[in-house]
Amino acid sequence: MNKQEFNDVDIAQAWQKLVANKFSNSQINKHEIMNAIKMESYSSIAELKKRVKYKLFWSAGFTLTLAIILLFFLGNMDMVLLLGIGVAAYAIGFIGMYFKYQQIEENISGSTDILESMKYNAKMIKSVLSLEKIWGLIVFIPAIIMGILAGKVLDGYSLTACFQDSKILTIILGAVLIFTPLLIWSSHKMNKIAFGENLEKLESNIIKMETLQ
Amino acid sequence: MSKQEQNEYINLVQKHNGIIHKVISLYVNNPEDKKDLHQEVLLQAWKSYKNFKGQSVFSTWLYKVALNTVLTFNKNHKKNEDLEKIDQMESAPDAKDDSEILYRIIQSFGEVDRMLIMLHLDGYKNNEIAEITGMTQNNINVKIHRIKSKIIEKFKTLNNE
Repeated sequence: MNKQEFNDVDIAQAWQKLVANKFSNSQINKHEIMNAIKMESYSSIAELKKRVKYKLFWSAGFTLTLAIILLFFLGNMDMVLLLGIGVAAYAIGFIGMYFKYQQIEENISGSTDILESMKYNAKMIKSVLSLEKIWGLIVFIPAIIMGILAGKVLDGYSLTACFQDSKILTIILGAVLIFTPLLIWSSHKMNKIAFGENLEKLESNIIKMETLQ
Repeated sequence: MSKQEQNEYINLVQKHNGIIHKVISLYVNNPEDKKDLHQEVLLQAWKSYKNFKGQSVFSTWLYKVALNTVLTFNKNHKKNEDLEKIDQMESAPDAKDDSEILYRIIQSFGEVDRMLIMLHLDGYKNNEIAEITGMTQNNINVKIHRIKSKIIEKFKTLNNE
C-alpha cells in the first residue's frame, strides 16, 4: 500500500483492478457447460426433495407389503384389523409425503429475489423436517404396537384378550414410552447433522437482510 | 428446450462466466468446492433459463441465480471444506497489491455484506440491489456505508502495521 488514506475512489479502483485481473479472463467451453447442465443438483432443496422421495418409496413399500401380508390372513379378523390399521397408517404417510413432494419447487428461480429464495429454502427445510418427524411417528409407533399385538395374535390370543391383558398392555406402553423419545431424539439429531448448519446460516442471513443488524 | 435456446444459453454463459467466477471466488476458497458450485450455478441457471424472458438484463439475472445458489447451498452434501472458512480468514498479510488486499478484506466479511459490496462495486444502484436482494433500500444504504467504512478502516489498520 502506498498511501495513508484510502477512500471510496480507491476502493472502486482496487475493485476494477481485481475484476480485470481475477475474474474477467475466466473462460468456459461448451463441453463444460453441457456437462454441468446434465449433472445432478446438490442444492439443499434438491436434497430435501430426494429425502422425501426415498420416504415416499418406503411408505409405498410398507403399504404394499402389509396389504399383501393381510391377504394371507383374511380368515383371521384380528389380524385383518391389525394389518388394516398398519396399511392405513402407511398409506396416510405416503399421501402426506406425496403432497409435500409435489409442493417442493426444486429449481432456483432467477425471477425471485434472494431474500425470498432464502425464506423459501428455510421454510421448506423446516416443513420437510417436521413432516419427516411426523412420518417417523406414524411409521414406527404403529409398527411397535402392531408387532407386539401380531405376535400375540399369532400365538393364539384374540385382540380383545390382548387389550384385556394388563401385562401385554404394559409391554406395549413401555415399548412406546421408550421408543418414542428415542425416535424423536435420533431423528432430531440426524436432521441437525444434515441441515442444522444450513438452516442456521439461512435464518441468520435472513435476519441480517431484514434488519440493520 | 430447443437446440437454439441451448446455444443461446451457452453463448450467454460464455460471455458472462466472469460473474459466476466472481461470486464463487468471494464465497468459496477450496478449488473442489469452487468447481462444484460452478457446476451447480450452471445447472440452476439452465433449469430456470426457460423463465428468463429477457425482462431483465442477463448479467443481472445470472448474478441473482449465482447468489441464490451460493447463499442457499448446503455444504453438508459431501465432505468438503467449509464455506465459512473464508469468514475466519484474516486479511492476507503478504498481499502487496490494493486489489488483492481488497479481495481478502471482502472475503473476511459475512455472506450478506459480501453480496452487497460486490453488487455495489459492480456498479449496481441501491434500488437495483434492493430489487436483486429483496432488502429495503434504506437497509442497503446504511449497510453499504458501514461496509465501506469497515474497508477503509481495515486498509488503515494494515497501513499502520
